[in-house]
Amino acid sequence: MKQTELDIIRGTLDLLILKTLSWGPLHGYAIVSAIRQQTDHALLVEEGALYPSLYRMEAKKWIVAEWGLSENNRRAKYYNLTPEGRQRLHAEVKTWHSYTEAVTKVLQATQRPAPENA
Amino acid sequence: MPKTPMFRRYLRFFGPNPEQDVEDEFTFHLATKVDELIGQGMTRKAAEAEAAQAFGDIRKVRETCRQLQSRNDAQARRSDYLSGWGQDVVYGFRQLCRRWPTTLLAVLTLGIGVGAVGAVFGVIHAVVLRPLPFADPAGIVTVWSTREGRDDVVTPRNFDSWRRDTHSFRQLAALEQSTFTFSETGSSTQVTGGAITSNFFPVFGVAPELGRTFTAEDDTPPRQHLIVLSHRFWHDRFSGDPSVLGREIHLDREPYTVIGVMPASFDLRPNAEQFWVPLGLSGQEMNWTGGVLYVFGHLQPGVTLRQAQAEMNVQARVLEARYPEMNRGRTIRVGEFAADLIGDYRRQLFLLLAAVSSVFLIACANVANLLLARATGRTRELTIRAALGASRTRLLRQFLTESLLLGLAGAAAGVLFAYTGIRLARQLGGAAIPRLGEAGIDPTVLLILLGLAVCCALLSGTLPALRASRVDAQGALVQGGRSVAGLARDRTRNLYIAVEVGLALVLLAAAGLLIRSAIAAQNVHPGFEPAQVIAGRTSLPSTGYATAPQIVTAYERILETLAAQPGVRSAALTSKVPLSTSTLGLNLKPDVTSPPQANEASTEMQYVSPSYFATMQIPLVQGRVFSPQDRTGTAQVVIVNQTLAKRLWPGREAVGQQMRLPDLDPVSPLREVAGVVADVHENGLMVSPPAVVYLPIAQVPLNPWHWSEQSLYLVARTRTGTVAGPELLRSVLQQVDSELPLGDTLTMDQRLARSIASARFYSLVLTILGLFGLLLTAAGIYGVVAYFVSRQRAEIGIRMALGSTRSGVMLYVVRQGMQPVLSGIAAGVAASFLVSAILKAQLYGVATNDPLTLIAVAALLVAVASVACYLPARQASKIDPMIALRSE
Repeated sequence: MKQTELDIIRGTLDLLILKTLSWGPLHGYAIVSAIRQQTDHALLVEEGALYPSLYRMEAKKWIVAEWGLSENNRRAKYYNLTPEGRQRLHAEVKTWHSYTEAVTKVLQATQRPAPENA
Repeated sequence: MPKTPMFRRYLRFFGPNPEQDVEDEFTFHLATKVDELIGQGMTRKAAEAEAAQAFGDIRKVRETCRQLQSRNDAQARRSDYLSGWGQDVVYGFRQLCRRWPTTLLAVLTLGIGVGAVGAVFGVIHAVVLRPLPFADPAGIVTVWSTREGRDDVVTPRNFDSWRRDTHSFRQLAALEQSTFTFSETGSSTQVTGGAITSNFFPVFGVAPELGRTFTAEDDTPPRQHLIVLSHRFWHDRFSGDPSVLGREIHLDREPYTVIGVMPASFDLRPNAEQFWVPLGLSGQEMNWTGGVLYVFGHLQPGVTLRQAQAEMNVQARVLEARYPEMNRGRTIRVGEFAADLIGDYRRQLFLLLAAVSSVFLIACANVANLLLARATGRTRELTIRAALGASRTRLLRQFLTESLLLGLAGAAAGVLFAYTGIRLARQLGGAAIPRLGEAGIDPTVLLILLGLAVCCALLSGTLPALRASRVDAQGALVQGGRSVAGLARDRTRNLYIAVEVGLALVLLAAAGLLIRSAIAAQNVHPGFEPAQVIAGRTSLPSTGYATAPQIVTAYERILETLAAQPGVRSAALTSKVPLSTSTLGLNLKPDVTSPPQANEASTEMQYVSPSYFATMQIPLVQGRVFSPQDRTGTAQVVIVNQTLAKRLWPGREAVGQQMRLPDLDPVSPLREVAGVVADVHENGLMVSPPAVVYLPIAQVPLNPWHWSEQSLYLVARTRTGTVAGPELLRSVLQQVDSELPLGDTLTMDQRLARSIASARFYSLVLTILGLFGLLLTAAGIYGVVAYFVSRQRAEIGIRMALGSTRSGVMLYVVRQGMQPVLSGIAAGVAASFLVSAILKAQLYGVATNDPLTLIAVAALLVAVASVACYLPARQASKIDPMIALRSE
């Protein structure tokens, strides 16, 4: 494992998977590859975390699974977003943006703020 | 993404397998990665190692995923099943609606069958099965002084001994039922009341609704003038006014103070007492040798009926030794109060239940046949669904769902039928049958209705479905729905028809026997001429009429007034009119002097005015009737009826014989038989005439007057064209003494009708049930034969093409239909031999295995079945062979 690759922050994996699936159905391996490609190999999705996450989201009905044939003609399980999953994605993206915005603000601050109730 | 293979079929065929699914997914993942790494130039071995390492702890991940997956699968299966069932319900509903004539027929048939059972069960539940509304109803008993197997009322002395010397009972209470003259302003009526010991109500464990009941003090002589009202009397006469407590009311012209009102639940027996007064037997009354008391008891805790009976058997022998004149030949019977209350009705109601159960079974067979035909018609649909992958259980579930829907609809229809039936029964029999008024559709009855309907629908719907779902898919598709199983189905169908016909025959035979006995009873000559005769009962108060001559004089004045009325052709007085419910309850023992043999036979006594036989037109057989000269001073005479004459002096002249009536008065003079009259059906047309001894009223000692509350019936035969109404008798009493009461006023025609009312009622009900059975059976036969024709179109076509005539075809069809009918008739005749033996007790004037009835019923069934077969047979004969053959 190369040390340059970043571990994914806990909780963001679901968001990444949902976003990746928003382009269309994919099997597990393709999801890993897609995230790797999108981030120019910066983010590493651990397979050991990916599958439990997928199964959990299936139980929550955000995604549905269907068996299909892969590019190399193998039997593979394809995952697809459900309408609920799509809604969830929107909500998570919004939260993510406000979160990063807030974090960025803190990180970009130049001085300590004045006490509020002075 | 490439197109999806038939994953769903994969799941459906082998069922979900979470372990394999997870394994497959991971294998695919690793294999793809290895391929990619090899593509990047790695060796296979290195690539595999790399892939495994990247995946992490595969065993742990696999375990987590398997657990998640199996949970997901279970959830999916559940929702899948439920939504599938929902689809079944909707689909089943549509199927039922699409074939609505069959559905309607099935629902109605089921409704009639279930409703009939529900109605009768509702009645039985209310009358027989529900416990009485008392504390510990099983412990309440009635105790009778029995002679010659007949229960009799008890003498005060015997009752006193029982109460003192026995230990089986916690309480022993007595009731003397008598008629009181209840006077309101301006009018007097006769009302039945009970004189009771103070522990009467405690025996039943019933507390008064208002006020109090009697204490032991109230029950000591002289008789206290206190009264406790029944709920019914309180409502009818005092409009349920609570201020009735403490009010004075007049009974037999004496004031009584109201101290209590009993609750409605205590009004158990129809025609029971309307109120109660203390019994308070005086020393003189204790010496009465005649029975007057009804005795009720409550068993000691832990004492069984049998133990009580054993003790009373001993008591009977003790009393026979102590008071031989009162107890010779008598035994004591301890009976369950509940059973005594219901009496004969239990038997009759269970017979009715058996009858409606037959109708129910016929209905079931019909529904089964309908559904069988429909299932056969749906073979093609089933085959296609099976071929498309529907499992057998899935198909069965579909049928089950449809049957369930049908059963529910049938139950709903049944509730309607049962409700109507129970209302009808309450109207027809409510006044005569105890507790019938409370019958209704309660949860128990509802549950039984629902259970029966659903069971019937499930059984008759699922059995054909089991067969149908076992279809050999290919064979059935090729043959277009006609498979070898069809033959077996025809056999089942024929069996159903045979059973239906058999049951219908038994039902109709039973109804026929009852109708014939009702007709026989109607044709019985009652022994008197009922037309234009009215009779009503009055009684003289004891004040002012203390001696026998006073009573006789008063009645003779009443009789004169009555005879003088315009329109009255003839008038008379009698202590009892034929077919009246009131009896003196006397079992006279005539002591015949020549020959000096004691005759134990029970004999009824009546005292009548000389004009009685002429007025009732009871023929004189021998000797003379009474004359006005038969009075206290002259020779004591009696008239006997033919039954008594034959019993006492067989083969000899009765007139001129002498007898004593020791039950009648202590100093019983020798009485000479002055005449013999023809027998009268005193106690009902279907009961043989009792032995009767008649006394002239002027020669009756004082005792019997006391026993009968100095009451007599006024009888008037009016001229044709005059209406014999109660106004006639009332106006006569008004003229003599405006406070004389009038009760039990009916024309003799009405009494006759009432005496056969229950026989008529049962034959009517059974006839209705029999006709239902016949109708259902005819519909069943028609359905089967019509179905046979529709399936045999091709064969019939071939027969016709080969030269069979139209009548030949019709014969062929009718023969097919009549075969099971004939075997059903044979079975039914055999079964009705058994059934009519059970019916024996209800029959009169007709043999149990009356061949005429059986032949008539069998002929009726054959006729109806022939019509049911003829209609489809005519259809068959109109088949055009060319079209029939081409359509195949």
